[in-house]
Amino acid sequence: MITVALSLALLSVQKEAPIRQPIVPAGSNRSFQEAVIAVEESLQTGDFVEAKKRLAALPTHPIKIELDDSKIPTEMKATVREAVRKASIMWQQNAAVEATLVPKGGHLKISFDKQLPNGELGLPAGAGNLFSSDPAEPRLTTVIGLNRGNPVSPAMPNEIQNEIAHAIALYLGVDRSLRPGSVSFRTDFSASGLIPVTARELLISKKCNDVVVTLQQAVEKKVKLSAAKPKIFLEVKEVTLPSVLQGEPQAFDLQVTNNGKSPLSLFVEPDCGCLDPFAPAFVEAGETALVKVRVNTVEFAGHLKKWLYVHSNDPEFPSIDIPVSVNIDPLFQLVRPGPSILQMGDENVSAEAFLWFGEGAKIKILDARVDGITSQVEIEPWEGEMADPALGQGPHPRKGYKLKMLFQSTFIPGRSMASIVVTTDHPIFKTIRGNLAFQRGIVALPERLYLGEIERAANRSMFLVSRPSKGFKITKIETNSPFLKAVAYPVSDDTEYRVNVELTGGQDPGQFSGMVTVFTDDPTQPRIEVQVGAIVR
Amino acid sequence: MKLLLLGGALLFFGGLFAPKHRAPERYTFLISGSAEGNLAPCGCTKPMSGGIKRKIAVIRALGSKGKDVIILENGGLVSGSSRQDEIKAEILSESLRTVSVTAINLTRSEIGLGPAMVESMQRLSGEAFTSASFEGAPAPHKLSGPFLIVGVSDSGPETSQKYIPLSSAVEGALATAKELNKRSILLLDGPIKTAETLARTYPEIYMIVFRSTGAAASEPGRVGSTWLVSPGEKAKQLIQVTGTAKTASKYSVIKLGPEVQDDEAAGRAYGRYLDRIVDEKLFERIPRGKTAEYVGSKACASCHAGAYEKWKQTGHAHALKTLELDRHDRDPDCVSCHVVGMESLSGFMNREKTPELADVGCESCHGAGQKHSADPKAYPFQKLGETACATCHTPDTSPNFDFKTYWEKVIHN
Repeated sequence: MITVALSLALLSVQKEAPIRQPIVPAGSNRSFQEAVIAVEESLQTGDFVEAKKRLAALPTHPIKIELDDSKIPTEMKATVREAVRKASIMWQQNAAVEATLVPKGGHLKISFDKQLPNGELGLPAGAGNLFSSDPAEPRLTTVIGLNRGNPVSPAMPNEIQNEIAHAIALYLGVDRSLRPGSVSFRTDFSASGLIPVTARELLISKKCNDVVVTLQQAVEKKVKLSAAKPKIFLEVKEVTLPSVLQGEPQAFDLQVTNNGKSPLSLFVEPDCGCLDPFAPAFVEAGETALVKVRVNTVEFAGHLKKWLYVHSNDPEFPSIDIPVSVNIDPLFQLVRPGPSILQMGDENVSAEAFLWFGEGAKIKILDARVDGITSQVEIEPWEGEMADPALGQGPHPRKGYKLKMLFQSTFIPGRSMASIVVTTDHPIFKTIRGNLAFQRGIVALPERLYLGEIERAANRSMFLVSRPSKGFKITKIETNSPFLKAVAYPVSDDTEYRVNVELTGGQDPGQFSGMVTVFTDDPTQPRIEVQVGAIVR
Repeated sequence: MKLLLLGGALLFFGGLFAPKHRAPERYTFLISGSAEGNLAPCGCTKPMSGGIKRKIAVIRALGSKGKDVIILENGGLVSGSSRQDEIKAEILSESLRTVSVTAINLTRSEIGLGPAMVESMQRLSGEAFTSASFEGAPAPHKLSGPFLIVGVSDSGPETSQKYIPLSSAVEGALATAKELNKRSILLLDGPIKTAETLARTYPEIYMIVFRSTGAAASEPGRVGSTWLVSPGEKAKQLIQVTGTAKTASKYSVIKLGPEVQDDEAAGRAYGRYLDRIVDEKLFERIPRGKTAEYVGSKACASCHAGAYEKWKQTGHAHALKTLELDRHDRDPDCVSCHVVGMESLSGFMNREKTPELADVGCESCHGAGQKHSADPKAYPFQKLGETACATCHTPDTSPNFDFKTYWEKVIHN
């Protein structure tokens, strides 16, 4: 038997306080909500005996955990008991919830099976959780699969501990979460680490406990309470917002009406940080309230579809998903027409870039420069038609600036990067950056050859040796390994060659690192070296 | 004996000619895409979603190599064409090969890396790339069971590979599907509006995977019997669709949260990615410009002792350490938000050369301070607001960021 140290923090209720109608927290599960209503219905009619019976369907402290380890192989029993102990301690440390192992008559029964039937995703279910309102049965029965995943393999201690911590969350009244990263979210996939109890889960479990304590007192003192039957009504099932310019504020209200006869508790969470909802904690019976939602339009451009999860204590709809759609017109686009890589010979190179702004944008360029290369940049106003492939838009009238850039041929041969940096007077987008890629001289593409994780058999790959601005000849190719062969072929003319590389096989397992050296007739670049890397298994 | 033989024969032929009521074969599609270079979830705030290690783990668990499992990747592996993007594209391709990916859409982003890289990715992926939109693409379609899978793009980049207009590419693919008696699945590098138009125009299409911003929808779109699905952006989730050859019937979104155990093979590939960015000195190759001079946080302490002491107790003062622990301290994607002035020639280089510029310091928010420290009255600093934090605390990297809560942690005068 495991006994976790008692803490009565959750149970402390001032004896003299008047008993008020408890409000079930949003984020609690349907089973908890229905059990509360069942007790309240008995209290409403003054049937305190029945109310007392029905109290058994609510979570109580300390939690008696009944562990049925009959199907666990002997060598695993100690591991499983340790997982139960650790899961209990995790809740105890965070929420002062006490858990005691009992041989029979537990509130929460945890049993095991060799392998559970497949769950929703087609994998063997990691666990199944079943609530019961029959006082003769445990309130929650959890069956954990001793083998899970694909390929099916024995459940790890962490996975068993996560399942038990999840079961305790359900038992305490916490609803299953839709967001990963907390014990109330569960999955049938194999988990590597321990999933924590979050502040939100602690808060919900504490509020659920407050409700239980209030009902216990009402039964004990024979205080009549009415059955709380809040009823949520959302005016809209889906929110479609008008188009907005990136960075401009966008907000909307979600109207929530409580058509029930007791306060509706609310908790609204988004599926991303770009929706910032502010919801009242309660909506009184018969009243309407607004959930104010702010949309962060800074980080995204294009069509955005996100979700708001509205949790309440309406047992019929404990959680409602509201899709939110908005088109965010880009505040700006920095476009450089032409090939993505600028070819550079011995002469200076010029290029143009266009910085156009969305309709109604209030933004001015203060300065523009290019980092990483000696250059001059001229800025001039521009108006014309341009496509936006990033958003799938065809040619469209645009307005903004043209950046005329002149680059000095200072790079060493190879591929180099530079950055266009535009400073603006916009309070959010103070700096706009764009990348530039340059190629100078004879260049190997890719600059290193990566074969990945390979078998010991022969493997082939290739690289290009290229200088579009001026022809050259390959005079010789060498490799530094007997396992490495390389042959060059001209692609179309003498500006580009294809070098086929073969790792012949038979090399030792482990990291392989070789070098192909291409000799050219250009005295300024007589040799181009290309490293060849692989992991041989 | 004769009776027995007769009985046996009747049973045999009865069995042979009896009507068979076998259920139609079911297929599972595992759909991902638009990784946009996000190989791993940024670890600034826990829990973060996504990452190649989790994605491959889920695909493997749900049945890689199964004959009735079809693994689809809608391209968009990277969002740029730098050397780092090339390495990312190779690692992503290699990781997808370990689960025998069925088809990868060769989109603008992959084409933009150039033909040599496309060939490298094609080899690393196990010859999985497909596109009917670009002449000379590795394969116009892929066949899997009763399906013909085609990669298409709604526009093309300016490259030597000629772009084939969308309608021509789709019609060509549908004609092939009809000839081979296959159902067609489009991997579309384009938005939902284009997917809807295609589904209306060509109702025989089984499913269209399109590109979208944000999270995956909790339900599939439908135009007639054609399903429209998107895995959302940045590889934070995966879609599972099941159905028969006639119609798709079940849809689930699988969130790649920390509950998913990392895949071992993808983990090894990711380790090689980290090795390669260090080995190829990508951090040292970042373009830097001449900007106002940075001086480091210690220079501020003489006049702002209280603020300096407060800063030392914040997470900002250990920001680089968190990257070092994750081996991301030379990753250009990450370092800019963990040091001072990475874009500047006077900014952070490494711990040895510029120790005072490691971590998020005073100048990360207030700007380069050389002039201010020399003559504070002539060069006063402006008061900062919420927007100063937004450069690094974005919804992606810091999903739980709340200015009021976070400001309390760093507040100083």
